[in-house]
Formats: sequence, C-alpha cells, structure tokens
Amino acid sequence: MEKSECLDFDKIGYRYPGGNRNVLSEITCSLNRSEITALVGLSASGKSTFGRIIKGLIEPDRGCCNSVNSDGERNKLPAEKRMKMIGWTGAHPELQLFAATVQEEVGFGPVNLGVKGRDLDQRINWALEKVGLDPEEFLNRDPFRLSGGEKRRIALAGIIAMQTDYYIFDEPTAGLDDDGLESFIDLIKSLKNDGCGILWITHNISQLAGIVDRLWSFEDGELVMNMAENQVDWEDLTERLVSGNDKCSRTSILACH
Amino acid sequence: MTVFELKNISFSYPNSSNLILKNVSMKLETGRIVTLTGKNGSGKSTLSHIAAGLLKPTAGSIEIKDIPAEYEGIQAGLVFQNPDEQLLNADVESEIAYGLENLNMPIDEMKARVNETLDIFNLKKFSQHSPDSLSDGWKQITAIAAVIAMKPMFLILDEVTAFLDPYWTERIKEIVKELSKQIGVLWITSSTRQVIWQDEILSLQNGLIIRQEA
Repeated sequence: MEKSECLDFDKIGYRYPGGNRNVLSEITCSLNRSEITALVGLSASGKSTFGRIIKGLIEPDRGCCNSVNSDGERNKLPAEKRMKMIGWTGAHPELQLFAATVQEEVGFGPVNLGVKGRDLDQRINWALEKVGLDPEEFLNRDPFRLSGGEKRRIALAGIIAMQTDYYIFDEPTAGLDDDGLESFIDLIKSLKNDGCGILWITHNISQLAGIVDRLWSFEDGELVMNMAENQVDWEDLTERLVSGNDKCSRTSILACH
Repeated sequence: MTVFELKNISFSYPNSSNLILKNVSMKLETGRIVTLTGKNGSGKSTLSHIAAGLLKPTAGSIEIKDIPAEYEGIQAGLVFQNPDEQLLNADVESEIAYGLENLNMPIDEMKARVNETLDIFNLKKFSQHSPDSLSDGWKQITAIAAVIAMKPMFLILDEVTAFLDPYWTERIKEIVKELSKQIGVLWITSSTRQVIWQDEILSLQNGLIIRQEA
C-alpha cells in the first residue's frame, strides 16, 4: 500500500438507522501523521460515531475517507483498508478483551498479521512497556481479573502491538490513575515521534493543553473548531463546554429525595 | 449523623491468599462527602462492592446506623464505574423505574418519581430510547439517575464522571453536593486531579487506608 501522509475526510454525514437527526453533518478535516489531534465536545455530539466511521466500523451515509500521499494525491480509502491502517480502542476496553492471558490478548493482533516466535514476544513486551506495565508481572495474568484501569492499558497494548499508521483512542483516560494518564501521554507522544497520526477523543479538556498539536470540537454533529493547539483559547473552550447546551431542570434534587 | 460504618474490613478473593483490603475502617456521615482515591488495582472498586453488599468481607463488620425506621429508600446505592454493567432495561424510563418497582412503590408514586428524575437529569428526550443506543456520557447519567431515584441512604459513586462532559461533570457535582446534606456519600476516583471534595480524603495503598490531609 502506498504510504499515507494523512487521512482526509470529505463531507462525512451520518444518521443512525431509524434515528430522527443527523449525528454527523458534513464533517471535513484531515488527520495528519506525526500529530496528536484531540476531538472534544459534549456527550452525544458525534465524537465516538466519527471515530468509528474513521476506523471503518460504521459506513457513513454521505462523504468519503481518503488517503493523501506525499505528492498530495488523494485516493479513496474503503473501510477494509482503513481497518488495517488504523488502530482503535473504544471507551470500554473490557468489551475488546477476550483471551485467557495478557500475553495471548496483546499478541492476538500481531499473530494475525503473521508475527511469530521471538519477534512476537518482543512485540508483546514492547507494547506492554509502552503502556507502563511490567511484562514479567502481567504476561501470564488473566485480563478479566485485572482492575478497570489495568484492563484499559491491556487493551491499549493490544492495539499498539499492531503497529499501524494511525490510532484512534476514544476516552482512553477515563478511570486511569495519575500514573496511567502520564503513561498514556508518554505513549501517544512516542507514537507521534514514530510518525503515527493520533486521534484522541475525550471530554476531559484539562488534559490537552501543551500535549496535542491540533484540536477539533464538535457541536451537535458539526465540526465547529479545527485549529492548531497554540491558537486555542482554552479558557473560552472550557467555559463553553461547562455551559453546555442542555436545558436542564434546576428542580432541587432534595425534593426528589 | 453517621449512616454507615465499615469496621476492620479485610478481603481476599476466593483461592487467593493476597489480601486486597487489610483492616479497613471508614464512616459515612450526612453533610460530608468522603473521597476515596488510590491507584488502579488498589482495591477501591472491591471496597465499593463490599460497602454495597455485593461482596462479603473475609473479616470485619458493616454497620448501618441511625436510619429512621420510616425511611422508605434503599440503604446502599452504588453507581458502577462502567454504566454498561448496570443498565439492563429496554428503555431509559424503564431503567429509572426498575429499582422503584423492586421497592414495591405504588404505581402513581412511581410514575411521579420517574418523571421527576427524568426531569432533573434531562433524560426526558431519551425516555423511550434504549440505554444501549446512548452515548457513554448519557449512559453514565442514566445509571446515576436510576440509583438516586431509589433514595439511597448512602451513595457510592465509583468514577462516575469518567465519561461525562464538562457540563455534566459540574451538574453531577452540584447534585451530589446537595444530596450529601441528607445522606452519606463515598466518591471514588483514581485520579488525584479529580479530588474535588475536601471534607475527608482517604487513600487506599497496599490494602490499607491512609487518611490524607484535607
């Protein structure tokens, strides 16, 4: 496959089957290699749906995904190709875990790519160390007996063990302790330095300043902000997200209680 | 008023000699929020399951205190870290009603409580939607709403803002603060950056509770 320099999304639109509103409307943007892009927005603004479309888990109703090469040529990138080029982890890693040991879990992707023997062992150890887990301590453990935060790190290790060009991490830091958060940030910086393109989907904007290169913000399925990190007014963005767009009842909860 | 007390709780999982909790004691009182922090794997969720009665401690006792005899709600309300582990009904309205049905609440009263809860948590727009079809944030709000609707005498909130956007994080904090005037609250978080209540901060380290300076 020709080397991809960025993924280009052209007027992506989507409505869930039977749904009464567009979850995504005309999303046009590019995910660059060697950059960390954060995607923020209120709950149900379409962030996770967009991540799943990029990965190829959902086919958009409208628009297309392209790969752009070093000469600037755009080639349509069907879902089956995106599946191979992009690593993705959803918000609940335990839904992705299935193996009896951490070794088998993290090695599953590479084994399916034909990696074996010593290369496989090295790949598994490399991935575990990247997410801050000691291979010696974890290799033979049952992933289902680990804590929520440890499961998340195992899921991340399983994804990066595939060594793809792009990664989508959907709420990867929810439930992580401080070490886990730092380890995740080290991980994405390291992947960026390796030349990967990273999309970090999150609601927690306090973690992003100085870490990411670019910020996208969604409101009701529309891309309302696409700018370099150093142009973002973080205070204003925080204020906007804290204000929300829900008309919430201010009925006293104690009246209910 | 003390509503709940854990006394000298120890716990190990079956077929394991590794003590996850060692002689842990803590109290929940009305008017103050107890924060429990600790690294991933330190036993916070295990402790929450013991407090809610889902796991039996290996040693120690759990005392429910000073709850008026006429109190009609449940004793312990636990909101899980992952809302998918908690949501089991076909639509959001049924999810809120489920616990109340199990409390044998009269139908008119139940309808009123469900309505009020949907209103407070702005869930009316999703009342007929399947929880599975919601975003992670709205699933988490639904799980919190369903537990609070049952009027627990003490509320255990395990990483409940993990999937919430900034608006709903603030709103849930407001709701919890208000509730804590009448009930005991245990707020569990892995991240020291998420320590927002200063009433009492406990840290779980190597199975032991360390009291932190507020």
